[in-house]
Amino acid sequence: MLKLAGLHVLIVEDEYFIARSIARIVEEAGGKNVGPARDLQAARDLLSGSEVDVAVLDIDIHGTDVYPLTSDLAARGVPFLFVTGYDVSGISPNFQNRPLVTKPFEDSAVLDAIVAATRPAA
Amino acid sequence: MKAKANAATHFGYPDGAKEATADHFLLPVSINNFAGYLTRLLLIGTAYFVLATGGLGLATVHPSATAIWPPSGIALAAALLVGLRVWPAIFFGAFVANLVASEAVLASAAIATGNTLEAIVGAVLVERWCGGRRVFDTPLGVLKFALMVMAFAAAIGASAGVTSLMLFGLAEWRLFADIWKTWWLGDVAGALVVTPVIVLWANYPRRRLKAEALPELAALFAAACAVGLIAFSPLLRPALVATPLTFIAVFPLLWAALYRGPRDTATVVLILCAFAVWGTLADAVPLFVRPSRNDAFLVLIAFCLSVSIPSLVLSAEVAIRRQTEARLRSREQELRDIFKQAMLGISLRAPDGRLLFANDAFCRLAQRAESELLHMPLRDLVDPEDWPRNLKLFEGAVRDEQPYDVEVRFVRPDGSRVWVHGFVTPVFDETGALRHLVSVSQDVTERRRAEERQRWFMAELDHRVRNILATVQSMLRLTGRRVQTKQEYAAAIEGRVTAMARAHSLLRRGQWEGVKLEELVRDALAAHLAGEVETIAIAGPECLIEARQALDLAMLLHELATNAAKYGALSVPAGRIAIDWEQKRDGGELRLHLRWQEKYGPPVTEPERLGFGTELIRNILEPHGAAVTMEFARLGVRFSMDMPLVDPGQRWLPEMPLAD
Repeated sequence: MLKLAGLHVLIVEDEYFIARSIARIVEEAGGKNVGPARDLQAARDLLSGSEVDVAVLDIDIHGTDVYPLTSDLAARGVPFLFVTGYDVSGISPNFQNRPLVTKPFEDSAVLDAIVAATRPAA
Repeated sequence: MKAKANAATHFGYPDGAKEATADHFLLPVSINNFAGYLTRLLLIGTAYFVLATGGLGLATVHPSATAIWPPSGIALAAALLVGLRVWPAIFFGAFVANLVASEAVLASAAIATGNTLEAIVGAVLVERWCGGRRVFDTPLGVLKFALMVMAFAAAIGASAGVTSLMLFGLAEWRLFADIWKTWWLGDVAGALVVTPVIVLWANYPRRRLKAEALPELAALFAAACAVGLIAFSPLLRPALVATPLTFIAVFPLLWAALYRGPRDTATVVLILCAFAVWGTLADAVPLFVRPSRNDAFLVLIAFCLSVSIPSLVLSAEVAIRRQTEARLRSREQELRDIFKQAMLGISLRAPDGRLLFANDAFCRLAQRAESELLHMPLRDLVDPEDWPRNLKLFEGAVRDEQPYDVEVRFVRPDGSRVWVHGFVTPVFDETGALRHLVSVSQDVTERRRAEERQRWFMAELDHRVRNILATVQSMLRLTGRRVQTKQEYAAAIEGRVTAMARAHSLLRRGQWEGVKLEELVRDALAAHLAGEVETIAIAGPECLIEARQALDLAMLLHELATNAAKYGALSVPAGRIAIDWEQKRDGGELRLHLRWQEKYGPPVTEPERLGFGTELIRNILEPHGAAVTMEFARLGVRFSMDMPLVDPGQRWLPEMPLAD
């Protein structure tokens, strides 16, 4: 059974290779890619223009933090997770409880994190 | 005698009291000083003789016993100051004086022996038990001196003297007690009134005699003389005959004792006693008038003793206190100087946290004046966020009686904060209660900032490395999906990773601020050229590419070159590649327009060229906002791209957070 069947996944990542990797993982698990968006503005455009069920966020987008986007996501009720090269201690304290995938990553780590993010809050 | 910095000068004898050379030899020490020695003997002996003769002239109870006997004072002083070897002077002075008065040789010799013994024994006792020539510098010393004189020295002199008189038949045995009493009292008074003056002036000849002090000294002695005149002298007798003004003697004495020190006090004592003697001799002192002359003298002696001993004691005590006070003050000033100008902030606070002392450095830390800081509770200085931590450490320290370290922020009046490292030591009193806390504080804002910066750099480095590894990992996977054989895979991976590595080298050489486009192009093609310069034509203005764009552009060029080498212009000797670019400004944005044109290669068929490489070419610059076109024209592959250029001056690293 495909883990991400039917899920629309917004990927926000500015590095081509890594964005391609995540996109491939999503596709192979039955999900639909929205993006990847390479900067915050592109992400917001995609968010307002398409259906999005979950967002995969890289923390450092061309030198700026992705955190401001999270309020847009929260406003739309879209859960999100982080894929990042930062250790958990390098993440802003407000977001340290989010599902987190550290780079380099295994396919399964990404999938599990997406599933965890979309699970209804306990 | 220049100041050798000896203990005497350092600890309170600023004009360097002469060192005691207490020798106990009864004979001269060396032949060299013999002349000096003889001279001194002569002087002392003469002085003794003169005073002795004067004293004997006042003899009342017996020609050889006088109530006024200054020579004993001189003898004792000489023995103390010069040493016991002055004994010949005393002996001969006494001998000749007595001889002149009584014309009895043996008796005079015996009496002289007694006087000499008196001085010698007295000096030895004072040397051993009373501090030698410093005897008058302490209250206890004065009292001990009086005791030694009364109990021993004078007793010896009187006993020897009176016994001699009796033995040689010069006096009647029944008068022994009276004569002994007079003799003894005379010697005591002589020692107590005369010796202190001589010894103290010898010890401190220059103390407090500077120009500004002389008027006071002169006034003091003038006052003493005036009191002497009024209280004792016969000059005012007609007017004041019945009034016992003797008691006003206390005023100059108190003045001297409280404000002028032992030496001047002893001098005032001498002055007053001298006037008292004069007055008594002239029957002018109502208080001293008695039926018999001798009794009058005895009252006089009593006066002299009651005047000299208490004032010497008092003056010694006051002098000691003054010295201690001066020492304490100077030590306090030293400590204060150290404290105030220390580079580290030092503060003292009470157990309840109020500041008691703060030095300049501490005031600078808090950016407040000392007056503002005093009695301010420490809590008001410390950032509220840091206070609980400080309090906890403080309580622990008090409980364990151990010092502690803490780093807190001070809040300055302008609201800014500074990180302060404090080393706090609790100080307890004898009962074990906390008396106060001493704290040494240092501004560590810079250090913390440096530590923060370092932590930040480490995290960034970690982040970068992980990203690169993730990129390589992705590239490995993506490559693996599109190749057929292991060799293909290995070659492709090696090529791509090497391209990435070389791109990083170029960046590093450009100090991470940008790479020249021409260098990027040449570097990507270098592996495929090996000397054929006409194969590649490169043209374009100098153009600096920002770091992140440069890395992806390097990958792109690598792919183009690899493809050209595998299927395109670089796979045949006749093939040519023309690469050119230009920069255009389009509405405030600087854009790079780059073209890669292959010619004279093998015929191009599109399906052959599909692969990850092509996908990569099309898409790798997409995150940078580039528009890419790739045409597989019959002539050769044509690639063109149009990309907004990021200002290379833009920081490669995101803004580092500043410590607050």
